[in-house]
Amino acid sequence: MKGHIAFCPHFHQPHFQLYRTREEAFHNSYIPWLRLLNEAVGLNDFFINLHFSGPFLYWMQDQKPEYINQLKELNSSNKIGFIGGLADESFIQLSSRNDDYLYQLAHYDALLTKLVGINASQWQGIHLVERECGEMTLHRTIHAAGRLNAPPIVYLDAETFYESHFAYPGSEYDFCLKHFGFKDPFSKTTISHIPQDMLFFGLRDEIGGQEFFSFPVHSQFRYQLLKRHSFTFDDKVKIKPSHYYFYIKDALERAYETINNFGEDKEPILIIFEDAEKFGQWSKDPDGDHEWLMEFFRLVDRDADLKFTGLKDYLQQYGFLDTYPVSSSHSYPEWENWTAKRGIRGVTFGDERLRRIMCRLRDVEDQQDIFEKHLLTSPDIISPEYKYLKDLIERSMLESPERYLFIEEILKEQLPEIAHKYSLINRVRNLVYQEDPKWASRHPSYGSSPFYDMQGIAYLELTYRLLEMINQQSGLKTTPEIQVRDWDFDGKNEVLFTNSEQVLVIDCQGGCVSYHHVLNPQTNNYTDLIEELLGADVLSLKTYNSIYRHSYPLVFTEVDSDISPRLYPEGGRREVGRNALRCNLYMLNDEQEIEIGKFSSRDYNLDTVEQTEGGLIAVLSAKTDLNLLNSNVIPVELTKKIRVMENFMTVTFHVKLPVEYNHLELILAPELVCSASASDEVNFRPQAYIGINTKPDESATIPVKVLDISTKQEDGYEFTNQEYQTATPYELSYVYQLCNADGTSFSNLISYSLVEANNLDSIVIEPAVKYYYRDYVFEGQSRLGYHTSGALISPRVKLVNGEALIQVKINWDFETSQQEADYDLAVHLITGN
Amino acid sequence: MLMLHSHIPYVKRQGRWPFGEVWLFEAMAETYIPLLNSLIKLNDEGVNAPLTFSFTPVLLEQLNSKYIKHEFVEYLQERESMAGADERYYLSTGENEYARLAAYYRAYYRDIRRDFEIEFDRNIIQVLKQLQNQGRIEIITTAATHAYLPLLDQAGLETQVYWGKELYNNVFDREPEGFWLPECGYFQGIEDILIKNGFKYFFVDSHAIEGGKPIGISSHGFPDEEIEIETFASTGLSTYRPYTLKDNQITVFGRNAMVSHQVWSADYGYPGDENYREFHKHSMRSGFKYWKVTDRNQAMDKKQVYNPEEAQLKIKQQSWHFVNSLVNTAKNAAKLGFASPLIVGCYDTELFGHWWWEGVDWLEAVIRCINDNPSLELVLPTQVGKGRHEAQVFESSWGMGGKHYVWENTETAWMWDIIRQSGREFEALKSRTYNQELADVALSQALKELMLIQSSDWLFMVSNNLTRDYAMKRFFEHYAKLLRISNSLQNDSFDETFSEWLNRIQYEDDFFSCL
Repeated sequence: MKGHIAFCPHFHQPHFQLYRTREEAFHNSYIPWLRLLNEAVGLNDFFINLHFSGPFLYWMQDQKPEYINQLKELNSSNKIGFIGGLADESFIQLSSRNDDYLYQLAHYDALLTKLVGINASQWQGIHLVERECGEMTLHRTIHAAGRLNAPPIVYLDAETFYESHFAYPGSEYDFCLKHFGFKDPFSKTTISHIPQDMLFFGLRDEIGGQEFFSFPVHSQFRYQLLKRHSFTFDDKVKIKPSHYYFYIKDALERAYETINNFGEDKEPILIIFEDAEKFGQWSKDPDGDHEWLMEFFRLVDRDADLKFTGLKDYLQQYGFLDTYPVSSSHSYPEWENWTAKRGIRGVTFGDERLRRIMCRLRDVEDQQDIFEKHLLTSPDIISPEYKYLKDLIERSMLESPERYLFIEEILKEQLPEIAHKYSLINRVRNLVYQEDPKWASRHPSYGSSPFYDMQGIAYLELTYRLLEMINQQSGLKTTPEIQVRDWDFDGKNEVLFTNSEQVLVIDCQGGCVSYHHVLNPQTNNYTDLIEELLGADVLSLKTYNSIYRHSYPLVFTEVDSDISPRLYPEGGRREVGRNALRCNLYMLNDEQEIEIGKFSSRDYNLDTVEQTEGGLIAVLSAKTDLNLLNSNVIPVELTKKIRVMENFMTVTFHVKLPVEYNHLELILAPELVCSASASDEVNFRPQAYIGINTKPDESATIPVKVLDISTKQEDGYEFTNQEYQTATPYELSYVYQLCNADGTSFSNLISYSLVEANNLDSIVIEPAVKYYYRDYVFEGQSRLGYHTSGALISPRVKLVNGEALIQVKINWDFETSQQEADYDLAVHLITGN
Repeated sequence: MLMLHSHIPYVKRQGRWPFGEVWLFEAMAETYIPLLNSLIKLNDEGVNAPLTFSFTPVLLEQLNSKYIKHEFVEYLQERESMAGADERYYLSTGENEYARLAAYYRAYYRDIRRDFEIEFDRNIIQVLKQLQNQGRIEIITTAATHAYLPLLDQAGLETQVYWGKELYNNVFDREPEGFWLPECGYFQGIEDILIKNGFKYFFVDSHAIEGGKPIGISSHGFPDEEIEIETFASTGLSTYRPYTLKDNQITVFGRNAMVSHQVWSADYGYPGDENYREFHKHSMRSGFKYWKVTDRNQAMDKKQVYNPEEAQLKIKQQSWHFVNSLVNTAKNAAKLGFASPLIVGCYDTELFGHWWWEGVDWLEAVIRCINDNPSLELVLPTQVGKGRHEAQVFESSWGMGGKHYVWENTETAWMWDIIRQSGREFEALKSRTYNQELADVALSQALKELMLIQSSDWLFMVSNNLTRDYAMKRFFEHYAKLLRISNSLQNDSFDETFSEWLNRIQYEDDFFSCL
């Protein structure tokens, strides 16, 4: 038996990854990889298939050109193969556009050609993001690959080919047994299938008439690779290189024997696919991993029956086993677990934050559609004699996999001043689809990582403005300042306010702000500035940036386990974002606050939405009947009035009880939430504080309770509480510092002025979200603090004579000049730095 | 001190399944390899695991056999394949718990094959040797074919002990220091033969030293009323220390009753825990054991599916409990004046893993706990040294009733006649001189057949009526072979037919190559 091994490590760091995280991986893994490969190519039979994600290559291009040079040198050994992929490692199947497939592959091709001199036709195969292979992804990717002359070869998980739970009478797919209690003798899978032991060959398939080839990846060989250490106390398994070699050879021998039983004499192939970071970065022991891998390589090298190979090389020499259709919409088993077998679409719309990104992406895509339709149907494109073909041409072009190329060509010729802007718009839109930990899977061990998607959305909002301006210049319809529509696709309308500096989404569920993005006033109607910003940052994808000087999501919160309703104890639940401007009503009982009326989560009625000279106004109200302490039913109404001006907003909370209940001791507690967080991607020492200014002429004091101040420890954060007795505050500012790896460091600010707040009882300040995915991820990863979730400021206002009212003005400042000394009291929220 | 006695009768080329080589393969796959893996792992982690082993020469010879090594790999592949078939079957019937267990077995046998091929280089003996040479374990010998010594004639006794030593020497390139009396079978006088052969210590059951009631008061398959349990006179001695015999020429270690009970007791022994795998129930499809003990008093059809994770939890609890018992025992011993008491646990090695599936893990956990406990230390016999007090040891065994009943009873009386007759037959052959070259070969083969006849295994199997047919077949076969050799030797009749036949039985009963 001769067996082949295709070793396919996958190198990836997402766009906007933290500097320190990148550098750690660089030194622990990527540099050691080069050392390893330099040694390994000295072996006779060594060959490896490397896949560098687009974001990884952009990073190398920008920051580590020497690495690329060394890669080039390695490539001259002829023992390195390259697997192609997508420019942004994007979840392209989420895009509404067919042409993004070609866009992604073509940009990757251009990048790899530029950096290493390898073009698409030389790829050993194509890497599909998370190896998720829905029919559309396969079809469109393979089609686009054909356009570039790239080999239509992919590796997919063995589960994609072989469903071990084929239906049999009595199996879980026997629905007669499930519903009626008897075995259905015909609940059988009749189609022939390749046994699992034989899934060690190249397989041909076709989709939409496009031929492609696939190789199964077996989870066993991912898990066993470099399994040098115990994962948990109970884990006693350690795999030595000789064990790994044994398993591989055993599997290949078995595959060979099996196929022999079928009367064929064909040499099998086994794919080892794994994240490259498993070497060195996961273990933090690159030397130990190096030794392990080299020993494994040598064992294979010494074995005349085994040989490392490239995917395409193997296919060219040994061909495929048969045409065997993959079962699409599958991925690797862990991914299937994390996504509840619904793939990335399931993840996206099951997660509040990701859903909001999708909604904004759709807004951008809609605007882009308007522009492109206009362009494609203009008389310059379709001459009057073919006007009857207008609709047909428009539809065909919009559906074309080469749509963006077509538009680019038109623009270059006819509207050169827009061509560059158009390429920027496409670039940003594409990169926001990138796979990053948040998008990817809600993988429990990644924890919260707001940094990534917030930068993407910051660019996206600027792009939206750029598109708006282009459309405006073209005399096209632009976004109305007020929209009432189902923005987040939850079946209920939201209110969307858009002005030159803000986008604000008000969700009637909870009567809260679910999305609030602000722009630096400098960008207001300055197309050139936005173009310049995007041009500098995204055209060749600068690794480090300071986009938060110009664009920042103020409300873009994590889901909060404290407000996620559990539907049943075994775990059925709905994740809910903390959002801003929720409001609670508390009753005091032995100084304990007991929530009543569920005003923070109930449905609000949209009483008024209007555009006035005084701004964009929405009034919401919620009514409920309280049943307190066995007393009579008390009707209560809580109203919120949100007024949005160009560069600030106000919100008024008001609650009133019927006069006969004026004696009740109740507290109104609005939640002023900002999800902006301090960050320091270089040293991991973020800084944030609350600056408080108090009324000078007031002798009365109130307590300000600051909960969960994060104190940095060597291995995480510790949380403590502080209480201050101060004169009544009239302004609270949340100041968060942003230290970026491009060398910039500045602070942004959001300020809450208590314009009207009689009977202020106290103020509670805490992280915006304390736990996310509690009991579903490790405690340490579930726990958020000011450094990851932003801040929640909750003024407690006493009801006097059955009524309470508080009005807050919210404004913000980019690169603020405010200093701690400008405040009567400054409370540091993150200490230990 | 933990003393593990390892023995599988000679089964090479004596049938595969359900009786025969499969016994050896099961012991290798379920006990010897996992146990040695554990010891290697513990050593790698710096955990002290000085265990004492005895291996019967007949077992060592089989472990060393090329044929056995090859067949063992085939056996493991068969098991993997059967487990795979079971997994597919159970998935097809929607019995996912069983399917999961089948996958567990498949991985188990694959990894045993991996270790046998890669870690052991197919050489279990070599691993034992290395561990012993590194001073990590001590290996002693025993009777060549595990004969029950107290009832053997003098010549048979001397043969079994002498070849026990020689064959050990042949395998391990050193003299054995200790001798395991098969079944702890002791009678006054055997120490003379042991001393003559240079042995320095041996083991007996606790009542042999302390007196009182023997531990082995019940045994599977024997009706209690058939035997009168003798209560031995109390001696006032204790197994907390080693004793010396014959003017300090040899040391005897007594098995501790508590540690034996804790593991062996039918009522509260660890292996009977409800979460552990049930040994006696197996799948009719594949022979795999998919059930847990559940409740020892319940019928086999009431057994529930085995869950290895649950069993692992029990192992943790019970290892802790066992070590705690050791600490308490030591404390009690201290009250009796034994400042540094010795607690000797003697078990059949095959108990761990083969009979008691979780036994190896339990043993590993116990060793870890002992290492973590400053008041306990695992020791080897040579580290303990000679006894300083003289003792008189009762004739005894660790079998039911504390004496010879298990091997000598109404069911086996006829066998002893044959065994003794065979001995006399061989002695007569030995005393003759032969002209033919083939006679030496035949005589040597006659000795092998004699020693196989003397194995205590056939007696035990006939007594407990579990595998009686196989035992009787083997017993008669070896006896018949001996008789035919004897006949030819006595008549100087070495024709071609005999020669061919001799070749064949040399192939069948192919052990003790150094004879």
